[in-house]
This record gives sequence, C-alpha cells and structure tokens, in this order.
Amino acid sequence: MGHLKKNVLLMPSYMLIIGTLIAYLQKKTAVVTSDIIFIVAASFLFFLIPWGIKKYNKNIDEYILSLVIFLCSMSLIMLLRLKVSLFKPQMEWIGLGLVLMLLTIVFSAQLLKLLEYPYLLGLASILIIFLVVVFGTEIGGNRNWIIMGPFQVQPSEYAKLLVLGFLTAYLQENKNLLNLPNRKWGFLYLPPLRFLAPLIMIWSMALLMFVYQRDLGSALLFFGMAVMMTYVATSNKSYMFLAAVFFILSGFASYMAFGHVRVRFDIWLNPWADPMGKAYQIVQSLFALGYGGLFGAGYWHGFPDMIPAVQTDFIFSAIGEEFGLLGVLSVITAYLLIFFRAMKISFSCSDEKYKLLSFGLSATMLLQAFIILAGVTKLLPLTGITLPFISYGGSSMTASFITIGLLLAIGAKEKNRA
Amino acid sequence: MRDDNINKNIFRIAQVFIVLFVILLINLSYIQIVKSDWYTNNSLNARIINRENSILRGDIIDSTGKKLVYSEKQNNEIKRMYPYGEICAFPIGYFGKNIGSAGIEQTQNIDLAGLNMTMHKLGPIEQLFEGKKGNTIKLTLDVNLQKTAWNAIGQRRGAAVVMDADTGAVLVMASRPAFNPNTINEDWDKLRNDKNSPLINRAAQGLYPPGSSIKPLIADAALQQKIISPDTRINCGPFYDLGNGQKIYEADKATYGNINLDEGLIHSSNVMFAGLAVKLGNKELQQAFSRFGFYDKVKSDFYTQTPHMPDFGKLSTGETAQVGIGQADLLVTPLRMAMLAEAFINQGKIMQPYLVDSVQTLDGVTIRTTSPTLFKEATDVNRAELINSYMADVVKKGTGKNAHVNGIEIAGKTGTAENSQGADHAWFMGTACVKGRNIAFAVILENSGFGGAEAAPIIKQIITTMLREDYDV
Amino acid sequence: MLNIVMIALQYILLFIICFFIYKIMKAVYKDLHQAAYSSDTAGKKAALIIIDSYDENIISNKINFTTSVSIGRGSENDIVLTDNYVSHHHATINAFKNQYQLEDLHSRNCTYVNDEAVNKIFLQNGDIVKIGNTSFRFER
Repeated sequence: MGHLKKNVLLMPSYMLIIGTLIAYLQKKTAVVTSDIIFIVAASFLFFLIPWGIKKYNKNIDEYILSLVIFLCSMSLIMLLRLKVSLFKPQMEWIGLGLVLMLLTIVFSAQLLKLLEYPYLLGLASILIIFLVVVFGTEIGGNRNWIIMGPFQVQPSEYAKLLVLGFLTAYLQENKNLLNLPNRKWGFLYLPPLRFLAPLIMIWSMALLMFVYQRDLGSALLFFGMAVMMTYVATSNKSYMFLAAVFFILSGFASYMAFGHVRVRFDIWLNPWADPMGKAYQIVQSLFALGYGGLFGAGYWHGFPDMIPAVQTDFIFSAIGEEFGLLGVLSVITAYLLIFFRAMKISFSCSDEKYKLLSFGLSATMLLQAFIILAGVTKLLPLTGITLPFISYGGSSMTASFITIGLLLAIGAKEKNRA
Repeated sequence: MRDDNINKNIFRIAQVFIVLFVILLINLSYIQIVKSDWYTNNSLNARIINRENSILRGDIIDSTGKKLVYSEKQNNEIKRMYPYGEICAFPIGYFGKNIGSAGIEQTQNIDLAGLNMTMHKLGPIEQLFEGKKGNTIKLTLDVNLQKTAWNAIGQRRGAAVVMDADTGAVLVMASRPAFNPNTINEDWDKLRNDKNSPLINRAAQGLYPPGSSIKPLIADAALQQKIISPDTRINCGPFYDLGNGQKIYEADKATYGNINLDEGLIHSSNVMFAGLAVKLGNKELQQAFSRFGFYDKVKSDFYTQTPHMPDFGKLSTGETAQVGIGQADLLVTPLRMAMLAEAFINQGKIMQPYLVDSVQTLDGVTIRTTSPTLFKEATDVNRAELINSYMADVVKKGTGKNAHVNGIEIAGKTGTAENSQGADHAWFMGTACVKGRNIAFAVILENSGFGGAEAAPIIKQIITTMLREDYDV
Repeated sequence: MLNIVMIALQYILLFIICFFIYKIMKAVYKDLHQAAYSSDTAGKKAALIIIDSYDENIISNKINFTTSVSIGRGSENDIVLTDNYVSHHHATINAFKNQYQLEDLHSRNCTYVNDEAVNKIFLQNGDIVKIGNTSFRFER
C-alpha cells in the first residue's frame, strides 16, 4: 500500500494560498483580512484532515479523501473569484460537511444498520419528496427547495441517500425473487407485479419530480440510479430495456405536454436560434469554454461572470475558462478516480448490501457529475443540478460529504475484516 | 458465485461510464481546442467587448489616414465613435452590445481587440503582450470618394463599388440606405424590420439581374469561340425571333441595320447579344461565366454574396437568349460587375478584392500588409484590350455618354435590368485610367430606370473628385 | 514585473492542479499494480516442507505451490505418499482469497494440524500438517 507523500497532500492547500495571492495582487479589495484568516485555517484543515483521519483509522482510503479535499479547494478558489460573498458560507459548508463525514464514519455501524429496514427508508424518502411537493418553494426555476427559518434546503439531495439505502436493502433481499422468470413477455423475463411495485414507485417518484418540480436533473439522476442499482443487483437486462422504453415514452410525453421541457430540448438542438434569449446560458457557457482553450485565460483573467448561475450549475464552465482543458480534465479525472477507488471498495466487500451501497453511492455521484458536465457542454439538454463538492450550496455539499463518509466507513470496515 | 456477478455488473457499469466520459472529453476538446477560435471571435461573445474596459479597441483609418472609427472614454463609459456615420456604415459595419458586430468591425475583431491568438492559445502568457489599445486597421477605402459616391446616390436605393484594377484594393464601397453605427443599439429593432433592408451591404451582397451590363462578357465569349470576329456584321432588326412566337426586341424597337460587335455594344443591341448567346449555347456560356469567376466564392476581409447562376443544363433557347442580355435567372452583385470590368483593363486578370490595407500596432509598427493576389485569369490580353476599347466607345458615342469626363479615358457599359420589384434597375460598370491609376467600377440604382441616364453620372462625379488637384492617387 | 509574477503564479496554479491529479493517479495505479502483483505471486506463494516421513530420502524436501495442491496415495496427486496410512485422495490445500484452506477428503486416518484432527481449516504460517506418517510444515 503506497502512501501519499506529505507534499502531495499539501497541494490543495497550496492551491488555496496561490489563488488568494493572485486574487490579492489582482484586486487589493477582493480579499479582506478576515478572509485571509479563513483561508489560512482552511489550508491547515485541508492538510490536517486527510493526515489526521489516516492516523485515526489506517484503513480509510486516503485517495478518495484527498481527491475530495482537492475538489473543495477548487470550489473555494473559484468562489473567491466568482462571488466573494459566497466564499465564507461555502467554507462553513465544507467545515460542516467534514464534521458530518467524521460523524458518519464514527457512527457508521449504527447508520448501516438502517439497511435492515428497507421500507422505513423507502417511506422516509417518499415523505421527503411529498414534503417538497407540498411545501416546495421555487428558487431559480426549480421548485425543489424547502425554506426552514434562515435555511434553504434542497431535500432531494438527502432523499437521494435514503433512496439509495432503500434500493440497496430492497434489491439485496429480493433479487432472487426479481429474477424469477415466471412471466415472459416476448423476450422480456419479468417477475410478478407485486415484486416490481417498489421499483416502479421509485421510477414514478422520479417522474413526479420531473413534472411537478421541474427538477429535470434530479429526476434523471434518480432514474439512472434506480436503473443502475437494479441491473447490478439482478443482472437482469429486461429491466434495462423496460427502463429505456419507459424513459423514452415519458420523455416524449413530457416533450409533448410541457412547454418548459420543449423549450429546453429545442435550446439543446439549436442554441443559435436564440443565442441572446432563451439559449443565453448555454451559449455563454460554450463561449467561456472556447475562450479558455487548452491552458485557460488564467485565474482571475477570464470573464466567467457573464454566465448566469455560474457559482452553482455553471461553475465548471468558469473552471474551463480560467484553467482551460487541462483544468477541466483534472476535475473530471478526480471524479473518475473517486469512482474507481470506490469500485475497489465494493469489490472487496463480502456483504452484498455494502457492496451494493458503496457502488450506488459512488456511481450516483459520478452520474451527477456527468449529467451537469454533459449539460454545460451541450452534450445533453441542460438540467439544473449541482456539481458535487464544487458548486456552491449547503445541501449538495453536506449530502456529498455524508456519501463520502459512508464510502470510507464501508471501505475501512472491509479492510479491517480482511 | 452470485457475488462475482455483482462485481461483473459493476464492472460493466464502469465501462459504460468510461465510454460516457470519453465522449464528454472528446466534446470538450472539440469545444476548447478545435472550435476555440470560433467561439472566441464569435460576434456575440461579449468577452471582446468586456476587454474594452482594460484594452481600448483599435482605430480604423482610411487609405489617407483619416479616422473612420475610434474608441473614446466619455463619462467613465467607453464609446465607439463613427464620425462618418451612415456614409461608411458599409463596409465598416458596427460593434454592438447585444447584437453582435458586422463588417470590418467583425472580420478584423481580433486585431481591433488587440487579441494575439497565438499567445491566447498559450494561456496566461497572453497578458504579457497586451497593449493599452488594440491594433489600427488601415483600409484601402478612400473616404472622400466614398462620400462623393454616397452623395451621388442620394436618396435612391443603390450601391457603388470602385476598385484599383491592378490590385483589387477597394476604394469605394457605398450602399444606401444604410444605418448609423453610432446609434445601432437603439435603432436595432427598427432597422431589422425596415422593408428597405438598411442592414444589407448592397455593394457586396445585393443580388440583381445585370441586364445589358453583362454584354462585354458575352462579347468576350463569342470572340473566344470565334462565333464572331471584330469585322463581322450582323443585321440587327427591331427584334430577335426565337421561333415559337417569342421575340426579343431592341430598346425602343430600334433598327440598327448591319453593325459590327463594337457598334453592337455602343447601341447595346439586344438582338445581337441574344443571337450570340444562342449561338454560343449553354455549355459555352457556362464556361465563360466560370472563366470570369462567377462560380467562385470571394474569400476576403468582408462578406460577399456569390452570384446566382441559371441552371445551364436546363435552359430553353428563349432563356439562353435572355442570359445573353443579362436577364433570366442570372443574379449578380455590383462587386462582381466591377470585377468583370477589371479583367478588361488589367490584361484579362481579375484580382482578389480586399479592403484591409495593413494592420498597425499602437506604436505604428505594421504587423501585416495585404499583398494583392490573383482571383482569376479571365481572358487574354488581346481580347481584354479590344473589349475595353469597345467599352470606351460606349462612353464616347453610345449609351454611356453621361459618364464622360474631358481628357479621361473611360470605358463602360450601361444596363437597364428588368426585375420583379418594379421599375428597371439602372447599371453602369466599366474602367478608367485616372492620373495613371487604373480603376474598375460598378454602380447600381434600384428601380431607377435607364443605366446610361441614372447610373453613369455617379461615376462621372467620382472621377471628377479624383481629378481634383488636392486629390492624391 | 508584477505582471510577470502574476502570470507565473497563474501557470503555477494550473500546474499544481494538474500535478496533484497526476500524482494521485500514479499512486492509485501503483496501488492497483501492487495489489495485482501480490495476488498473483507474492500473496499466493506457499510451500510445504517435509519435516518427518516414512521415507528418509524425502525429509526436508520443499514443495512450492501457488493455487492448490492435492495429497494422497493415488499417483494422480501432486504429492504422492506411498504410505498405507494415507488414503487414495487424502487431502487438498486450496488458495481461497488471500488464505490457504486445508480440506480433509474424508480420509480414513484423518488429517492433523498441530496435532488436532481437522476437517476444514485455514492454514497459518508454521502450522504442522500430519498425514499418515508424514509431517509437513506450512510456510508462506
């Protein structure tokens, strides 16, 4: 087991320090003293966390942890540049996220026990989605927010974790039933309907979010999550086929029925029909990426402020503008590496539930990254969804850290056993 | 063995992810490497406008050094100033806020913005080479002549192009109606919906039937194919009979009797040229147009429209005869007609037209100069000189008398083109040698009637301006 | 001057980002490589050393194996013991994940590990396996 050298672990901290230095040299007023204290604290924290956790439990996967820290540094320097007022809140969210991650690791045994009660998890996630449908408030075109006092929460980020837990537990318990080929329709082998019901429920939930909350990104994510998990657990390709048909049908139906879906789709097909109107965001994103080129315009030397919502959904385009293809390549590689390390964890799991859960957690994170990256590069129609660990936002940040906490805990557990 | 199954499935999903991300990366490389220049220079990309806050946009000057466009700070706001307003709107274009840009402002955007694309590709190092101001674009345009042409066109719709026949440098490119680039942002909606299309550069992009002004080309083709010799006489009656009751008449149903090619051009005989076209046949006609570059795109520092050519494979005899007098499906731009005329004074050669003379840095160092390039070797020296002399006779004795300026050898051909929009378009195209400089020109006035009466005097005014003592060629 | 420092800093920042990912990638690759390597040979290399036998000639012979070895009187076995106390197919040792499992194949006279009769057991380094009159020391 190779250990990461100290100077490698220090790099995310260097990123922060150099970023701050450039910001200061560029615009003396951009960085105030209190920010500098925060930044110094953050640089220490970013170095100490992987190092300290390693000391606490040597079985924790240090690669995943340092990649997460890297993404957080990226997020911080980008926010320092894009909207300095969001820098400190994001710093606080990362701090809270780290604490939640540690708590998740410490109490992992208790948390993982929840997997014994799949229907409890299922009910809880339905409850959350229901709450959003009833009390949801629209922010930025998506009616997927709940406002609780001073906090704005995006419950779908947490519902994601519950649904993953439910899918894991349910699929592991019932995968043999789900593979009973007692119904044969053409070339499809399907089990009796009652065994399928919970899966259909999850799919419909995704559709409900899609239609009612206009949250296309989360809908796509939930849907992809359910399909991936079902396939991995049952090896039954009939589900994949069924899901594809279901997806195409519902996509087509919503294209016909809902204006906003149609608009998004048309923008995707031809953004140059209305580049200064409806397609403004995506066109600006493409301009930003194109302007960046291979090496980028340089930190603080691009014009990412022209892209609306650049600090959340479009933060990737800002990275592409200022750090170029090399920068975005690094970010993408970071997500892929996290997934591959997590894959190794799931391979080493002897308990199928953990195997499924660790796969589900990491695959969902990667899928989420893919959906938004494909959106801002016009590979797929744009769907508003956050880029894990980089976009500004507390719900996304804390949920992502809990995900990583669970992954690390499962990994450590399995290694310990071996 | 179930256990292994899950691992295998996970592996398969990972493979799908790898494929997805490879596609994502290919797409990203395409955007950031292949299309990088295109996105950076896109006229809607406001990044270049935003650069104006730190790097002032460069000036555009005419061939005599007069400032046509410059940027100026007014009350903490940088304004792009166009002192000649509508007169130079074409070909200079505009530099808008949310409407993009056009003309020279668009095609020379990189230099005006002071963007060094090579350095830009290398990343932040670009900042080291940033000046305080973008480069200056020196045009071949002569603003005095441009003003003369503008005023001569008056309130009519039309365009005038004058080029240096030896190099292809454009001296005049006037088009009316135009827009005022100083107020383009405010006027945008009105201009866009204006039925007179003030946003179209008629000189380079307006398509019109050439009418009789195409006849020198037909004459060249007929001489080349030896269908006619300079001495051949043809009886030109009041009409050319196409056989099935269709007739092509001379203007005013005149009868010229037995005339040669020279006289045919002087009188602009429809009977002679309809006959020549029919004798040439579709294949030879197509080849003649192709020799003069009518099928080739002009790739220059301004946008041009390629002529619309009739489908020679499917023309009836009647339509072939119509092509001979510049009607049928044939549509050309004034720039093309000037280029056609250019061949006859430039030993059969057509030069690539261009507007940008050179690019200079703020310190006056010239970064690049446009060197004239050959566009098309259209015809041979003898035929060119012969036809140019015929066209000179048109101005001396024929329909082009109104262009005549004492002591100057002017050659030209008028045109009166029928069209579906109403009254005939008036054309005048030709060449001249003024103070030792060979020029080629073309003028069109939409729906204004006879070419000789309306269009030819505009050239006379331009040449008169060139002859003024203070004018330095 | 300040300009040059700024530009240098921007390149350094980009370099750090790329370098960090490169380093992690390399480390992850190394880790995978190590895992692959150790599971092929280092992790699955074991030996049986004969410490006592009915046939003095074979004492202190070392039998190396990686995945499995079968022991018995039958000539098809990997280790053939022509001893009447040994059954035809007496026992096998199989690599299982990262461990080696000894399985007694219902032999008449049993298989002993550290003097205890066993059915199935994971072997540890230094265990003494007794089959009939022959004793082996398991090493890995």
